Amino acid sequence: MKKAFLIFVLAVSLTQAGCPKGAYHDAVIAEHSFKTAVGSFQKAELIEFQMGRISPEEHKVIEAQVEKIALAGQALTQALQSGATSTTVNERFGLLSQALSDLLKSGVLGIKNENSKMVLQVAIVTAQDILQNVSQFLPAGSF
Amino acid sequence: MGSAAGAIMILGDLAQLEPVAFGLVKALIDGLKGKSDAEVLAGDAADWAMIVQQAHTQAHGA
Repeated sequence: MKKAFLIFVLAVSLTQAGCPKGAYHDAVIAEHSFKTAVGSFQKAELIEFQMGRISPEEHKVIEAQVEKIALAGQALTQALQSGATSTTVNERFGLLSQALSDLLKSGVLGIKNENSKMVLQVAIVTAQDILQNVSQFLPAGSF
Repeated sequence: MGSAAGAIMILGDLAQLEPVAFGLVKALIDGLKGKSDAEVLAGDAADWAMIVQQAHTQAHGA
């Protein structure tokens, strides 16, 4: 009876706390989705540049920002690979979010061609959506 | 005439965007299919390195 009660309490505790492996897996999925979105953004930007719709100056500014995001992405991936805490991983996601905002403000919003600007803004919103809910499924101590 | 030309331009833009959108979904599926978290992260580490290299080359030259 006592054993059954302990199992019940343990099961309820695990349900309420959330499964640590689940939170880690969710973080990996978010990292992978974000990496794919950044890669797609870079491909789309290169197409717009090669089609002559983005100037060489705009292109250089945008790619310099993409490099910063990718370096922050590398740091996130390394944190996940090295078994960093969810707090550290959350901080890495936060840095990515900041770098993405910088890309939007200093790169994409300055594009003169309205169609190209719209295309790349959509790609950034997609990446922002991936990051938006990360802090909710990665509370401190979840892994 | 103006709206027809505009519609053709939009269709042209969509045709160029479609491979990118298709590529995004395909890359997500291929990147996760049957892989452990460690395998996904190993692949992503290599992909990030390529994105960094490409971005650096485009922004600053080789």
